Amino acid sequence: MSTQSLGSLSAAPRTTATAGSAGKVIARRAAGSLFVLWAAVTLTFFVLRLTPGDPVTAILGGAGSSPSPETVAAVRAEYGLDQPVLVQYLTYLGNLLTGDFGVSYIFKVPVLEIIGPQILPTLQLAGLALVFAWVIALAFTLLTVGRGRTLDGAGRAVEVFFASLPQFWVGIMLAVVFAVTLGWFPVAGNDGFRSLVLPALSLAIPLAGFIAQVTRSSFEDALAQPFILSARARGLSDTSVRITHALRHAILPGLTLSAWAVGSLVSSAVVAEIIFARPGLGRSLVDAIINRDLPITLAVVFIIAAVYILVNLVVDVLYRVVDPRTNPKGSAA
Amino acid sequence: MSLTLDPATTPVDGSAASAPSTTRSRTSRLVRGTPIGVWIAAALLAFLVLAAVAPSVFLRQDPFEIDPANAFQSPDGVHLFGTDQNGRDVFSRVIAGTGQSLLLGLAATAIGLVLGGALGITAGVSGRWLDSAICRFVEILFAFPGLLLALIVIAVSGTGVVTAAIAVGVGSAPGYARMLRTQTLQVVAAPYVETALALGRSRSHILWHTIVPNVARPLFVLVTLGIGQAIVWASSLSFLGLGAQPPAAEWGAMLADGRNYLQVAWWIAAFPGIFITLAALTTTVVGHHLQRRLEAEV
Amino acid sequence: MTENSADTPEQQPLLAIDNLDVSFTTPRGVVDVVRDVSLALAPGRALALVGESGSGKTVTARTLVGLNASNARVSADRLDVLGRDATRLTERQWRGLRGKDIGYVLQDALVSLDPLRTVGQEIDEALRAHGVRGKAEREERVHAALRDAGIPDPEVRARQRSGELSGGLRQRALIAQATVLNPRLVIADEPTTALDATVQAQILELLAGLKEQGRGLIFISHDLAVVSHLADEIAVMQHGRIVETGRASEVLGNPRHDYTRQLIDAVPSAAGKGTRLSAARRVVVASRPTRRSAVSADAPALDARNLVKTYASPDGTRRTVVDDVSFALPAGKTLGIVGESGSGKSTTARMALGLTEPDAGTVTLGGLPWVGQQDGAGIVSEQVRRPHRPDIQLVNQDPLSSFDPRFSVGRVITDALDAGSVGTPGERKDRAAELLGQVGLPLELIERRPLTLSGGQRQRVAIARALALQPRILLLDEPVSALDVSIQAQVLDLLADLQEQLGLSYLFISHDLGVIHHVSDEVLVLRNGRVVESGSAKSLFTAPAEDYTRALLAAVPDLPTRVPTSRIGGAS
Repeated sequence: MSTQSLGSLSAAPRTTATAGSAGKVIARRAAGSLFVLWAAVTLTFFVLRLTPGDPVTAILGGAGSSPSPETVAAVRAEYGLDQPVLVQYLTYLGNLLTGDFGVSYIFKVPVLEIIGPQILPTLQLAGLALVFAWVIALAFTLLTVGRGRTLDGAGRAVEVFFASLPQFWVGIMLAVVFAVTLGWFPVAGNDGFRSLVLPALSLAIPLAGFIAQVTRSSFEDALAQPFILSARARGLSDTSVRITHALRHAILPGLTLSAWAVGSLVSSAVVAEIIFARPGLGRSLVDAIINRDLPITLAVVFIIAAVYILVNLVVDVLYRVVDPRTNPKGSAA
Repeated sequence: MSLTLDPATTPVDGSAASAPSTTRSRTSRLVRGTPIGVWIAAALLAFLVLAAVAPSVFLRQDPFEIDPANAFQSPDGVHLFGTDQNGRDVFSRVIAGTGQSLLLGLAATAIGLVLGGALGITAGVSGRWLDSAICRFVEILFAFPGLLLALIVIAVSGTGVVTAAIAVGVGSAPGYARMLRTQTLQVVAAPYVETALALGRSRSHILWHTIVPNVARPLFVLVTLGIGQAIVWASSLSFLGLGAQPPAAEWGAMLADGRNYLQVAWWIAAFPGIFITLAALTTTVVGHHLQRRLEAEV
Repeated sequence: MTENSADTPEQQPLLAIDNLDVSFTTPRGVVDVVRDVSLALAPGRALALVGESGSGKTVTARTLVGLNASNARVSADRLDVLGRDATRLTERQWRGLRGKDIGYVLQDALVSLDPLRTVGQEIDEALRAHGVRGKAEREERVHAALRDAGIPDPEVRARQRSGELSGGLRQRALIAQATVLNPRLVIADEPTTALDATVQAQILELLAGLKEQGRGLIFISHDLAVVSHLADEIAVMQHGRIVETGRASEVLGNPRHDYTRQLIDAVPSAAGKGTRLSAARRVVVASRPTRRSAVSADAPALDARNLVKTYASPDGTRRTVVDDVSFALPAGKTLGIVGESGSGKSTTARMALGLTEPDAGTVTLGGLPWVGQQDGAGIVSEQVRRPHRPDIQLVNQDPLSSFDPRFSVGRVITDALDAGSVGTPGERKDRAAELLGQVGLPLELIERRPLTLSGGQRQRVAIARALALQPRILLLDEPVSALDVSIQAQVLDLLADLQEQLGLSYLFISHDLGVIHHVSDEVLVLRNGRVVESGSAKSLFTAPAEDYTRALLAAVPDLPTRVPTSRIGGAS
């Protein structure tokens, strides 16, 4: 039960180190990742493709227009929509392998031209948000855990408070205080690091609350372990015990949570992107959903899933670095 | 330093065992053992629930009445939270939105738990083949992190409040599935299940009378913890224009509305946000507390 | 070795403590944990603190290294540790002593060494913390410490983590990290408790070696027998006070305090076989079994033939956990199965109970087909077994985990009665009350949650539940291993009373040879899944035929024989 303290968040996938040589394990994990990516794309394709509503309506400018049957037929043929769905799927998959995401229904240009420039700003935003979140979370953990009832309680309270904050509200309040009132940071735009700080913070603060809750409880668990007592009995100071022993144990679950967090950050970046008028994948996705622009929706889903899967793979490797225990040989019967 | 050693919990064995816990001492322990923060959270949560069930208790103005002459009034005695661009009373609108927001959170959590529970419990009690099939499926769903799964649901079924509840529910289902599978596996492996078998119970009796009730034990806690996050998610969707639509008095939609007038009237966006936070915070604090109590019992 | 400053060891005591009090401030008020404890220790001597859980021995030991929790309040008329007034030491001064002058060894190295770091890093850390600079020098001293602790190939072991080492090597590594700086005082808190008997004997030898090097040794244990071989002096603790202290031979051979006598009598051993171990009242079973059973009373209660069980290892190979094990449990008798961890005793028990299907072999229950391929009848299915399930019931080591967490004590028992369709709900309640009385529990407990009971009470509830369906056989899997010795004595006496009055047959599994010797009529010794030796308890314990059995028996620390003064009688 102890790991379930975060509601749906806590069930973020557990990276379990698998037995075997490192190379073999990574190869096996990579194959599994490719499978998940393929399955995710396939699932999205069929779910979106088989929903009621004719894509042609979207292509021809929404429900208001009343195109002639000839125009409809021509568009159908142009976008390959006259083919059976299975053929469309296979064509899409084939094109995907060559890096071709198709043509946008709304903008009538290749999808990559639209979302290509959006990828980097979103990744920068998500990356910085993750760094901020970890810095805040670790600061809280190291400074407040087991430092007496008052500090401990205060740290705990702030973490729960942070984790309960909606990102969009944090964004708005940060904008009001630090951009509008104080003028320390730009209100909007995508102009270097300074313009990234507030959007990244608005995503980072709630996430920091979650990471800190997880690291706090594992830090507490670690500090209660007999090996901590052993280390102190060796003559180590409280601080060095925290840093050399407890911290390493404490960041393991946070690390696992981070893999999930990066994917989640990329998809919820949209909130910060809208508030701070930044370009980004999230905005493209929400616009595409509202306009029923299937190719863009699919492409963004693909990219987010790919980022998530890639980060998961990296975290898996990192996990092995922090926790070099291989599967214990033959557990006691 | 941090090593906690509570001698009072060290079991002292022998005929002179721990003091008998009568009902009264149990109640008084409950009162004393509950931190002040939890009491505050519970009181605030009770306030929110009351506002949701009987908004008229708090309503002082019609939340939908437009009064352009009174637009952008800053908070004062008459308009506790000020007025918005149409002169509507923000306090009344926030109160009026409580019901919808809480209901959205509850519905989304219920949907998520039912879907996740069906997957997770089935996987937990099934044989290797079905278990790994479900696990794979859930793993694929995890490749749509955060809002993504909810956004896909909206892409399929369009915008609206009902869709938002379903979207958030579906979005949280993979997490619940994984959690409940773990929970089920733990219960299945528990010695008391084996003891029931040794007593001669049939497998179906054990499934329905031992495994399922024990998996469901922390359900109330999960619901409490889940609602807060579901409210935040659902209001995010409304904020993006994908959930409740203006002029609905839904917190996320109100916030999106107020965002345009930040420089003239910060209160239009601020108060709905405070209430979203309040809802998430109070349910989380109360949920955590219930969870700790439950853990202490196991 | 030479930097040891105690040049006149006999004149300078390592410890001089008068009237030590330790209390803890908790939300529920101040709790006194240690009261009026006075101790003294000279170099080259070993002092054992003996007591049951909650007696305050660990808190006393931690006070000697200044490592009690922050809510602890320590006061004493005199608290001299290594000639310094410990009540005035600052944290920085304590750090200078810890590891360098005082080594502290905990129980179970699997959790007492950082599982993420190598053993070498852990030892190295002690050297570093005390300013040993040269990397090469430190490495050499790490290897030397491991070698001194009796670890072969120290260069290899230093690069391994505690999880990769066997229990014995792990514990040696833990001792190495505490003694690498040649401390004058070594404190060992239950250093052998989780270990198998043979490994325990080796670790005790290692600790004795430390003493011979002139160090002072404080040794904490709940086990009098373990203590008797190492300690020069013994202090017996109960409820935070020392009730008796003196030379080891005095305390053990001629105990003056009642509690000490009670502890000594409670230890099951060869000398005490057939006697009662505790002063607890004998239970009387009022009602005789009424259930009709299809099981024959003449056939062996359990007859297991050639049981085999293999499991797949992670690397794909198959590991044989139980290999061709046969035994017969005569009706009304006790068959003890003894073995160290990994010997396959629990798997054997599970197969006997029909909870794990064997790969080969059969079990019959009072002559009835029970488990495995029976002649011409196919594999016995659970459907066939279920009607006979009431005849064989289970009591395991951790009773709490065997209770449905939703249930009260009463419900635990009525649920078992319900499983056997016994009586109406009202009758079940009455019967539950009767069963509680039968296992010596007061009726008030019926409403309580098992969580609020003590370990001994929980085990009695588990026994009451096992008896609910009037079984012929109880399978007792380490039923007293988690209990303090005096509680263990009470539970063993209870089991003996019940067996005598109800004619039960026991399959009794334990790693503890003393317990097995005390309870068994027949004994089966298992090792690596195979039967090493079997036979009557008498012949096996007095004239073991196999080397392994002899080694096992030799490894058991025994109390010096003392003529039991009282309470003779009991189960005969």
